[in-house]
Amino acid sequence: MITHTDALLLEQDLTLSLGQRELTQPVAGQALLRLEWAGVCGSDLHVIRTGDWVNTWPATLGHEAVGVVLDCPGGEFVVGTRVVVDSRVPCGDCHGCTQSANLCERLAWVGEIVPGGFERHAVLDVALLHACPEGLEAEIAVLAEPLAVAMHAVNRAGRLPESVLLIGYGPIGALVHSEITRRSPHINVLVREPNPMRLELALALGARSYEPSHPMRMPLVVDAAGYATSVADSIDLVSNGGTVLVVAIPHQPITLDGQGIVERSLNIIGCNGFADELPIAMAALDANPDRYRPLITEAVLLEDLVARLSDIASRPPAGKIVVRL
Amino acid sequence: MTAIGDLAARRVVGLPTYRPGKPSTGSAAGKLSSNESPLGAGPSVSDALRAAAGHPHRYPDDSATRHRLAAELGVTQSQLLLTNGSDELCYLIAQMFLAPGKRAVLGDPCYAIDNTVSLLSGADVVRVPLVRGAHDLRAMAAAAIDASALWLPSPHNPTGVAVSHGELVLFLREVPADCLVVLDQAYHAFSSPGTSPDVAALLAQFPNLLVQRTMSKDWALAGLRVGYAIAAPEIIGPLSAIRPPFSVNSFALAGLSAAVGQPAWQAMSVARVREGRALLQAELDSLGVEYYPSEANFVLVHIDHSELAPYLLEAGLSVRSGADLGMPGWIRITIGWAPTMATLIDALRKFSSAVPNNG
Repeated sequence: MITHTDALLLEQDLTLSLGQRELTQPVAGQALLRLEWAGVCGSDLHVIRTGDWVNTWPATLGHEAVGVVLDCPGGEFVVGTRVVVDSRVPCGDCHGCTQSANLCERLAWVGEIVPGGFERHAVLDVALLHACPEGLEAEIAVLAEPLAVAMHAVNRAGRLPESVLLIGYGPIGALVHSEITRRSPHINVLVREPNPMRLELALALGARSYEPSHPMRMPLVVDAAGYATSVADSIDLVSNGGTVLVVAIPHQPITLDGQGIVERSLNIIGCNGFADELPIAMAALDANPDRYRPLITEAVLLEDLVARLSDIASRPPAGKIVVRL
Repeated sequence: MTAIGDLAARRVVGLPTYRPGKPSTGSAAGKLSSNESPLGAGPSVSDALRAAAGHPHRYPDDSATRHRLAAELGVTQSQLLLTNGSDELCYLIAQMFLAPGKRAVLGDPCYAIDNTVSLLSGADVVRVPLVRGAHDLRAMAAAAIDASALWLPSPHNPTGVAVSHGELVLFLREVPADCLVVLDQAYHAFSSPGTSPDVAALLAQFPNLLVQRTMSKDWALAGLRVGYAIAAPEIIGPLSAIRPPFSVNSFALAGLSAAVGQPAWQAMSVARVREGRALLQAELDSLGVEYYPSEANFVLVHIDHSELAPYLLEAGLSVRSGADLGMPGWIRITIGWAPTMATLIDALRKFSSAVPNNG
């Protein structure tokens, strides 16, 4: 019987450590997982800086996770099945939930309301688990959740125009780019990204660098950066009648030019998580894993995660960091 | 055995058999045994191969590809020869410059194909032992007196140690002008930025120099088999004359053109390898395991393959035994994809704690 697990612990005073967490024993409707890989998301970094959104302390963050079922008392999953974790924990009884989990008015997330993926074992409700296609590598499957987010964002944009400007080429920006060109390989994607390693990745994957010396407005601008003025910058750079897709979470309240939005007939679209895209993302990863391999640029062991997270602001990764558990 | 069989058998007596790196026991990404590119070729290469598949009935025409590559390299087409992998070039060089009664100089250990083609030519083969993983350039220059060809892989395979530009200049001044120096740069793109020799300057100064490169490593076209030589027209011309016509096939030409047309992919891919190499070497430092600081896409590590094998098997990984490469007691680890390297580091830590005195 597994009673404890190694886990990354975030205390309320925002100190991070590797410690042990007690595991409850799974009951019918739950499964015990041996987690294999977890992804580090920008929102994890936000929580580490601020403590926002956490319900119980110490927290174990990480909502992009893949693992193998070790025990499933209700028999919903065969032991040994590789599963991806659905990060959303909706309340289930609000008006939003009748439409989609990501529209829940009290939506919570794995890692904030229940312990997340930065631990070796987890007990989760089976409703949060999706069986992986057979043969899908765990190291690729860990991208399913953020890819679902990117797919949802692109779905929210509607019909894609010929040209797209992507502001910010962190992991979610890179996945949005990948999803746009997966659907329409010939779309002209321009990227505005100050980090040279991230820009190098964007160019390698077929994007072009946005040249500020030749400013031009684009029909679709994706804000995947989340800095203080990134939404305002996106509004400046979108064509009249165009769409700004806000994917990154701004870290502070922002002021918008309401008059400009009205007079220029702009669409400002937010996107929270994903709706029904998770199985579609898993299928896309399974169909062409090599397409997504370059997006994972760094991998650390759980025992090294505290050290890596502590210097992440001064040494941001080129792409997605994944954690081997 | 028949007389004809005896004749053939005599030619290969003593020739070592080339053994490719073993596949991993897990996913394909776990193969760290053949110095392959972990991310593969850029998306434009697949598109080009699909397009080339429409014309299999036509003989390949390498003129456009040669023109493009020569322009990229800043050389004339008369200085450039495309070959079916850089291994074909080894055979051509041996056929052209080596024969019974002539001498070939190699490091010890050396790249296996250099040794094979030298022995097959019937030339006398002089092996100069490496010193701490590096070529003993003074001893090699001395051995090159009366030699016809000298093979100089840099970065060296399997040690990963590279010769600097300054060392090369001094060395080439010592080597007789009638001895061909084959500078094999299969791994040069992975060298630390700014440390790769200035080949154009060397070629201008030393007409007996031939630079050998492959598209298998940083350009990730190992399966297509394409390499090339850069040298003076007086060397390229005769080599070209003995190269079988059409030896570089249409797919290889299409793949090469597409790859060269997307340099950003190669730059990104090389950057990832350098990061992975730095991470692995830092881990080996931390574990106190001996290795040669590498300028290639692999690291030679002083661990016996048989001792590490159970840990690799459990992790679904394969690396190359040094015994295959003239370095028994060592392993050569190809730098792989980031998650694969994390898995490898986990295996190395488990091994190191279980066998603390290794290395």
